[in-house]
Amino acid sequence: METINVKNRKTQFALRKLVTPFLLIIVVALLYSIVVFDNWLITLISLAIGVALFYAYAKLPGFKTIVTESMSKDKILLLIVGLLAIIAVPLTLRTQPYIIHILIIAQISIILALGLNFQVGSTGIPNLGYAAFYGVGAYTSALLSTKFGVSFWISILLAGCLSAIFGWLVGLPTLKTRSYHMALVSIAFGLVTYILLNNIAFTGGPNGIKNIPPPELFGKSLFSSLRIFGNTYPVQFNFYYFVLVFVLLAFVVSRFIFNSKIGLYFNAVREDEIAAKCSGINTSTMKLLAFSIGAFFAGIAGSLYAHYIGYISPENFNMNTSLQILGMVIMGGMDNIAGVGIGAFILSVAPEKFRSLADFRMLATGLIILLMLMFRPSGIIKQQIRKYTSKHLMTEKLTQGEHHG
Amino acid sequence: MNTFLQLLISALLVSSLYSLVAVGFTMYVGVINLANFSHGDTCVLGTFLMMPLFLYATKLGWISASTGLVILILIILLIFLTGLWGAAIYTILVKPLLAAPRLILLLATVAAGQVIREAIRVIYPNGSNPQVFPKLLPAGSLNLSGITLGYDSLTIIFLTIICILSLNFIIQKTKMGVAMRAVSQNADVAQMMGINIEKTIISVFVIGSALAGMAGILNGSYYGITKFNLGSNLGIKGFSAAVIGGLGDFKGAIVGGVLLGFIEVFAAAYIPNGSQYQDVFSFLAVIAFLIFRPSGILGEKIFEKV
Amino acid sequence: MAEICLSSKNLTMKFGGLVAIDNVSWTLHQDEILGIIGPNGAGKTTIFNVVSGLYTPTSGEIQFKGNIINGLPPYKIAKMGIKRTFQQSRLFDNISVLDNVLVGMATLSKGTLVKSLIRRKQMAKELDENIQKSLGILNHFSPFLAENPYRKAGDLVPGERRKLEICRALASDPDVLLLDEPAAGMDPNESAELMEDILKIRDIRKGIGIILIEHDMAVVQKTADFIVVISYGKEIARGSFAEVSSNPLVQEAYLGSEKENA
Repeated sequence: METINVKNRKTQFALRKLVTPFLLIIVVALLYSIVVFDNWLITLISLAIGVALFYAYAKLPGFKTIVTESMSKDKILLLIVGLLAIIAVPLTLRTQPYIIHILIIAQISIILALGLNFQVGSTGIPNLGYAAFYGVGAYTSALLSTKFGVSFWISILLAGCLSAIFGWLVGLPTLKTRSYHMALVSIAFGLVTYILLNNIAFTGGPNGIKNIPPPELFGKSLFSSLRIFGNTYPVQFNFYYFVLVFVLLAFVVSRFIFNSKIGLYFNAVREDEIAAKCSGINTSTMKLLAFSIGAFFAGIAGSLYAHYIGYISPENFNMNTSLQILGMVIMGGMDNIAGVGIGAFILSVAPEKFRSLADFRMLATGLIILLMLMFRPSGIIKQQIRKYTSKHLMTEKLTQGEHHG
Repeated sequence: MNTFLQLLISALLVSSLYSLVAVGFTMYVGVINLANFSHGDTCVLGTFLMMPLFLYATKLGWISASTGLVILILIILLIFLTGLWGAAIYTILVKPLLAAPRLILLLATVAAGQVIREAIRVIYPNGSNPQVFPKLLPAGSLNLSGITLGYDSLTIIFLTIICILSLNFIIQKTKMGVAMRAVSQNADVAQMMGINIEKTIISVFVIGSALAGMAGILNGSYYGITKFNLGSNLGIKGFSAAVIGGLGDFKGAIVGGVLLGFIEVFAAAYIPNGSQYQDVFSFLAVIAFLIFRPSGILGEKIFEKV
Repeated sequence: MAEICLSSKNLTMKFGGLVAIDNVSWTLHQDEILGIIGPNGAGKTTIFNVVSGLYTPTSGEIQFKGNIINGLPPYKIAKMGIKRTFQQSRLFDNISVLDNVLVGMATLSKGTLVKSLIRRKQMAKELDENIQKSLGILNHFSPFLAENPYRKAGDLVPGERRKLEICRALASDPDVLLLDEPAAGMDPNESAELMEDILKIRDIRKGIGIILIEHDMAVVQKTADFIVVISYGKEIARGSFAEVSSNPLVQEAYLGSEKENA
């Protein structure tokens, strides 16, 4: 009897060790098939498998514990592998620049979603006009470079700052009012910005701005193709890594803020504004901060978009864009950074794969948001409990309780 | 002077249209403290339901015969349909989310609006383009010392007043109206007093959607066209009017609608290139009000317990 | 006689035509528990709302440590040292127990964002101290809470919610604590524990002044040093529990409202 038990334990132990690599392989394979193959059927099947896995995770507690355990143990391994995968992917796509292009758009969407997350996810402010900040950033950067010959690096910085100021201004009218007033003001600002961009000659009206110069790094334009080991790589290759740096920065900053007092107070404002005020938090300052930081992210993203595509028009920054970014935050997970990233990835890549059904894109986005709100409003990944490293928290009883977090 | 009076009539007309939308919107805010962002799209849905009805009636030859009566019947039928739609929206979407944080419900109505909009565009033949909306209103006009008073404008203003007066009657004099007022002040106490909360809320949605349908077809009849995406604009204007006038009260919705209508018409007329920026003026007005007088002209009438 | 820390003078609060508070005056001393009682709807919570800054009084004044505080925004009043709990516990449901208490320490000064970047070590040390303090306060009222700091506040039972709300309020070492019907919905066992908790508050913060709104007379009798009775926004009696409970006006106010509700 005893020998059988030991064998079971040993096999169990071995199996547990295999879980992480197993999960990794599946996830990478799924992502790769979604991204690389231009077949909507494969995309659908991969998404279906993904949804099934997610469902199993959410509904089968046994599965859930195994996954969470292995993920928390091998956190560093997962991060390294993930990073390597992200860095390696374009190398395999040398002959498919369009796919790299999709990934770049996904990256910009991630930055946008992370920015909106500060407002909607962390602080609970319904901002339905986020595209206005995106547009302000894009146009600022584009106008500075095309009409005033300002270098990219200064343009992008000014774009971010101007957007942040604009964000602060948009936040002001909402401080004394209720959440639906905020929704209204944000829509109003979004529409006003769109109309103005469309009608003012300086911004090019409905024709937008053309021939926006690409960024220059160490004197070389990002539009010059690289030659590595005798192979020519498409221009998208350069932009992918360029934007990737900004994405990683965005993740780091978001995580930093989440774990700081500011992130905590954002949540307090979201959960109960009155209790937050009576606890000593200046909720007005917090809301304005959420607006500014979120808008800053949008401004940076706007500038990156403008200098990558080289052409912008008001249509890129309309209500549909706002709703799509909102969908990314809601779907991914309110105030969960990894979740928001996933939501942004899915909602920017999937439409490309279902290009034949492009007409239904906005309808699908609306339905996704609706279904998520009805059945899983906290998103694909819920907001995580903040954990602190403190000797006062390291007691035996606590480490047992942690697994319920 | 004539131009001014003519503009005045135009402004009253636009005001009526906006007021009707705003009043419908106020129902949701007043009774269940909900900003229903799909209200405008429900107005447009009304127009897209009306067009097939009208086409069918024309095919059956009913229209040419006793047109006025038939149109009236069609309008009533439409209001009934949109009312049903309201009940459906409540049951499927709102009821499960009533216990959730208000933010979720608000976002859900935004998403619902988008779904309505896009579904219309995708389902209706040639949905992306503007559609010709039948002229349901009496043609012709009255000429009063140089001013043209179109019968259609007068009908709209008249019908709007009728709608608002009927609504007022319902709220003030009927049992359901009393229930609505009770729920708007304190839902818990209302329930303890024996009021059926669910029935009350369903009524709010039915009446609100019916008003939306009415507003939609009046809007469509006057301008002669309708398009799938007019709803977001109309809904925002309706909301803006309600906020400007003072959220939670019908009087506020009317005052706001009037102000918004006047701003739009006169700004478009007297400011050079004004009509391009017509919407900007309305929205800037809302933003200004939200900064300087968020409770609106008449003050808010929302009860929130601390 | 202990120092006066909080007082109201001729406080009146009108909402349109409705007079919620009518010319009410009281004083709270250090180390004192002042009870405010009265039938439902008398305006007691409104007093708290005015003191904590959520409403600006129509007339009259509120003085705290010699300063007039009516008209100040709630966060400033909280920072000055007045904290409160709410009738329906207002916790931050989707974050952890520990986070709730940490929020109670809201000491975000202007330069903190920059400070977090530059003085990493100092901020880390401060955070560590705050965590230690939070756990200490939690443990004082509920070892369960102290042992489950990462539990979501929304997952707690009502008894623990009340305790957590008190812990959050005490986290910033306030000079005044306003308790709004903490015993609501409690059975005799729970309210006995609550009475102990109220008296325990003084261990955490020496000299704290507490104002207690309560309907449960047993709790009031055991904890309050002095009582003011409010009915229809007006004061109708004041004194010790014995004096007030035998006052015919007070009895009528309570019985009268009972008659109406019957």
